[in-house]
Formats: sequence, structure tokens, C-alpha cells
Amino acid sequence: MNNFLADYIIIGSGPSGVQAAQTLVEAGLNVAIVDAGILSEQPAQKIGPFLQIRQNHSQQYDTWIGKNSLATSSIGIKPGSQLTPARQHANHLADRLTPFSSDSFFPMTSLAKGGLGEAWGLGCCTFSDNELHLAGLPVAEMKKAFQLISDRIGISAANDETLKYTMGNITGVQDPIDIDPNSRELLRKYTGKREHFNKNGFFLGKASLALLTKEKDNRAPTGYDEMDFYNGDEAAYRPAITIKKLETCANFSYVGRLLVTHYEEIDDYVRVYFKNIATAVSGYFDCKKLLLAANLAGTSSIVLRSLHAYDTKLPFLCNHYVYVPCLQWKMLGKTDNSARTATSQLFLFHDPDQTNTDVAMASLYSYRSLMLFRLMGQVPLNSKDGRAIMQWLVPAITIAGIHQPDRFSSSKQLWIEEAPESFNEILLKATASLSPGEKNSIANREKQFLKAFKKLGCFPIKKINPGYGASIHYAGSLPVSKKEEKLRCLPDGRLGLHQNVYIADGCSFGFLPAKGITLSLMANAHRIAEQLVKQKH
Amino acid sequence: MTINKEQKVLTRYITGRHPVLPVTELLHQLSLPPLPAKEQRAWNMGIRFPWLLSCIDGAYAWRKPRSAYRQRMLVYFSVMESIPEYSDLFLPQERSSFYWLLMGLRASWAGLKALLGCFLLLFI
Repeated sequence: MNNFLADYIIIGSGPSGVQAAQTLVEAGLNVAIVDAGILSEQPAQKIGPFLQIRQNHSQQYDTWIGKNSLATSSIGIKPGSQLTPARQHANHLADRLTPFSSDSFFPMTSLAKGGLGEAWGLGCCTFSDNELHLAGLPVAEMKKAFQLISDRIGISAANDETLKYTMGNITGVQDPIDIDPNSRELLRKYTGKREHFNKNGFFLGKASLALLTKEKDNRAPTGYDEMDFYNGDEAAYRPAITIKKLETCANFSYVGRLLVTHYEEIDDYVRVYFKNIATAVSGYFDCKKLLLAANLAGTSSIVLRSLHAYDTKLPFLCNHYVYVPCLQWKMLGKTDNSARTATSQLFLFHDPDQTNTDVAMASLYSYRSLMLFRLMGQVPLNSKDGRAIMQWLVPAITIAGIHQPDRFSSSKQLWIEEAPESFNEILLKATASLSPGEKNSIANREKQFLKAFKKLGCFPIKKINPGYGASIHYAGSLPVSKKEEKLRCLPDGRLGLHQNVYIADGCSFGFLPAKGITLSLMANAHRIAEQLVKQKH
Repeated sequence: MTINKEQKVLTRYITGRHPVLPVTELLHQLSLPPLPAKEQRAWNMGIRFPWLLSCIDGAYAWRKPRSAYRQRMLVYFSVMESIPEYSDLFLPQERSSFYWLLMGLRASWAGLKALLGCFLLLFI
């Protein structure tokens, strides 16, 4: 017996899922998003500026640390350990409900309402024509989609020399955020030595962010309160904003608490099987078209299980990532509190051949709106002397997160195994290793970044490698192919040898640039949904 | 709710000040990580002889930063850091350009204490 929930079912409510949904809903189609929809146990609230809370708020422990987290040793460098209490639901229950095993790949998976978008650092960069080409994505359509997504979510960016790496041809963006004194000093140094940096392929500019600097659609601009990752401020774009808007439409429904396990194509419709995460009761919905937007782990598991492709190995992509705390001597003992946000302040791009193809990128943050105890977990000093020394050092600490582009290699694979004892009855496994050549190339590039930081007056203290997977940028398990093939995507997003199943997330990307994937994920999801709309009409 | 000896000693150790009631209230709600036998003996010794705390803590911070001892100390640290009365001890303060001399000396002294702590831990 049929159990139609909607004509179009989208699995996953992250950035890709919600943008695909918005495009379909705006075209008047009947759409449902289905996912586990884990909500925050400590909902983000607007509670005031960082400094004011630090000095006056008697209940601030919950805001910064959360009563459940610290005692269970959240102080660490593994993916997810830096999530603030208001964002910890981003990976809550994922380990238990969708088990994953690997000794060399440590991704963060999410079952949250909003998906990994809940943990997004808000950085927005377009992929260049060359990068789109390598990823197997149609250039002209993606350019249009970038513009549309920018108009939808609101992006603030500078019209500076990094524009070709950040916004590309997008127009109508808001003014960039006012950067903090540390970053102003870095930019001043860069301007003085611009020629040297450019000759070596480095370009520094203000960060382009999904953070409003002007009001948009009743969303207030950032208040520069440094609470971007703690409060429920809508200045920062999150998928929840789109879901809230779509829930006012009669042709949209959001169904949470359901973990989709697999699907089955039957005649001209798709049956989607799920398990209720509260009751463990299984069931199914039917739809005309199914769009998978559950990220690398979710989408790959669902496809492999649906095809009974146990032990079939899929490729994947993930940006190699390290972070480097640096010391800006000039800022020691300074306490300028003007213009502070907790987001990335500057982007430093490394494009050695200046073709905008093999670009690595560092995001620069000031260490301010985090607590000292997180640093204390990393320094070899006793708590008494360490407190005084770190209190003095913190105003001068800049954190640089370096991302490198990723290409396919036979040493990065994921697969599923049957696991009847686990909640979703499968175990997702992965292996990843780097060849000596890849290791060398990554290390060389990191060295060049460290040199550039020094030249900016920002001295690296330590290079921290949180493990492969910590970049939270994943893609590539079902890459685009022009031919109809099993476990490959066609350029319109349709899964090979399927009639009505589409891949709307990064699994279809054939290359992963270092610039941050979220804007491209949203643009691609919109592009695929738009083609479905055209098909329908 | 009373402030026990451990709370008094550790508040004095981390902040150099007397404990305030919110410290006790917060610690009462938190579960501290349990310690293995040797780390528990080291912990008890630090509470009994507070002048040894920075040596033992420094030794763990240097040699075993992921130990339960250190995790427990960080729970205390985070509690102190989130008490408004102590916020001036954790938030950045304006300092003179020669302050680095003092901090350099302090870091060297902390290193010596950690060395001494490592030696002590051999006998605990």
C-alpha cells in the first residue's frame, strides 16, 4: 500500500537539503524534508555581549562549557571538541545511531536539524571555473546558482584583491565585517609587503562570510558581540532559518526524528525506509523523486545499503587541515575591544601559479571569545603560572586554520558492512592514507604558510594536526560521470542506473577545493532542484 | 552548602584568592573525572601540601597532558574562569611593554617546578 508523504522527499536538513527544498517549494512543488533532526538541549539564546557576560553573568558556565561536556573530557583536538554548548547537538547521537569505524579518517557526522550547517564557520567562497570543471560541475549553471544563493542567505565580503577567490562574479553582497585590531595589524603589514607576498602566490583579504552587516529579510546585522557561535542571533545564516521560513508554506513539511536507512525504486516512485530514533519502529514513505542530501556518511550509507553493495568501496574527498596558533608580538598587553566577532577575520590564499586551480587557504581568527581553559589543555604549564602567562598572551594569539585541496586517490575509501546489532543495522568503515608524495606536498605548502605568517609578524607557536577528517569538508563518494554508471552521478544529479533518485550534496563532487565547500554545496543543491522543476514543467 | 578543603586549596592555587560560594555551587553540580590510584595519591598530596601543587600539576601538564589528573584540574580551572568575581584574572589586561620580562621569569620558574614535580612523581 502506498504511503505518499510528498512528491519530493529530501533526506537531510543541512545547507544542501534546505536550499534544494526552497527551490522546489518556491516552484509550487510538494516537498518534505526527512531527517533525524536532533535539536540542541541548550538552545542558543541572545544573552548579551561576550565581555559583559564574562564580567557579570552568574550562570555563564552553561554558556561556555555546558554541564555535561567538560567532565566527560571535551577538551581535546578531535573533530567536534571545539563546538560550543549551543552547537554541540551538531554531532550529538551520531556515533550511536550511525556507527562509523576507521583508524585513519575521523569525520564529524551530524544528525542535527540543520546538519553540519549548525557547526559551520560561515566562510563563503565560490569555486573558480577551473575548480568547477575539475569537480565535474557545469560552470555557467553554478555561477548563476552562486548568485542566487548569495541573494538568499546574505553574504558580507570585501571588494579587494581576494575577490576572485571569494565571491568571483557574485554581485550585490553586503559590506565586509569590521575586522578586529589584530587583523587590522596583519592587513597593514601585508599591504606594506604586498609585492613580496603576491610574488610568492599569497593574497590576503577580509573574510567573506554568511554573516549580515546590514538588515536582510527581518534578520538584524551582527552586533559585534563576539557571540556568533553561542547565541541564536540570525545575523549568521544557518539552515534553520530557511526551514523556519519554509514551514510557513502549505506545500512543505519537515519530518524529524526519523533516520532514513535505505530506499527502493518501485515502478515510477521511490519507497523510503526509515527508523524512528525515539521508538526504533521502522516504516516507509513513498515519493515521486528522492533527493539525498545527508552528507558523505549519510548519503553513501543509504545508497550502498539500498543497492546491497556491502563491501563495495567508494572513493571520497576531504580537505587536509591543520591549525596553527600564532603570536603577534605587537599585540601583547593590548586590550582594544572594538569590532569583535568570533568568526574568521581574514582569508589568506596561496595560489602559486595564479590560475585559481590549486589554491590552499588559511582562515585567520583572533583567540578572544574562547575560554582560557581550552588553551590550558594544550600548554605544558601548571594552572597557576599558566593562567597568568596565558592571560598575558591571549590578546596576541591568532589561530590560523590551513585547508588544502583534495583529489581522489586509491588509498581513500569507504564501505559498509552488515551490523545487525547497531541501530541502523550497518557499520560504515573508511580507510585513508597519504602517499609519500602527497605528504611532502602538504608539508611543503604548510611550510610556506608558516613562512608567510612570520612575514606578517605572526609567529607560529605550534602546528596542530587534529587528524584527517577534522576539516568537516567531505565529498566525492558518487562523483559525476557523463555516462550512466552504477554508483556515479549524472551531471543533472541523478544517480546512475536510477530513475528517480538524485544526489543533492557534495557526494557528486569530483574534486574538493580548499576554499570551504558550503556555498558550493548550496549552489549545487539549488541547481539540481532547478532542473527537477524544469523537468516537471 | 559548605566550601570544603579541596575547593579552598584549589581556588587559592588557581586564583590566589579566597573561594566564593558560586564555586562550591557549580562544583556540586559537576561530576569530576575519577582518578587512577597513582593520580589520586598525587592529587591528595597536592591538597595536603598546597605548596607542592604547582610542581605536581606542572609535571602532569608537561608529561601527561591528557591524564585524568589534568582533566580534573581543568574542570576546576574552567569553574574559576566562569565566576564573574574572578573574571579580571582571566580576561586580557593592559600590560606594559616590559611585562614579558616578568612572564619570562615566571615561565622559567614554572619549568623548574615541573621538573621537580616529575622527580616527585617517581616516589608517589
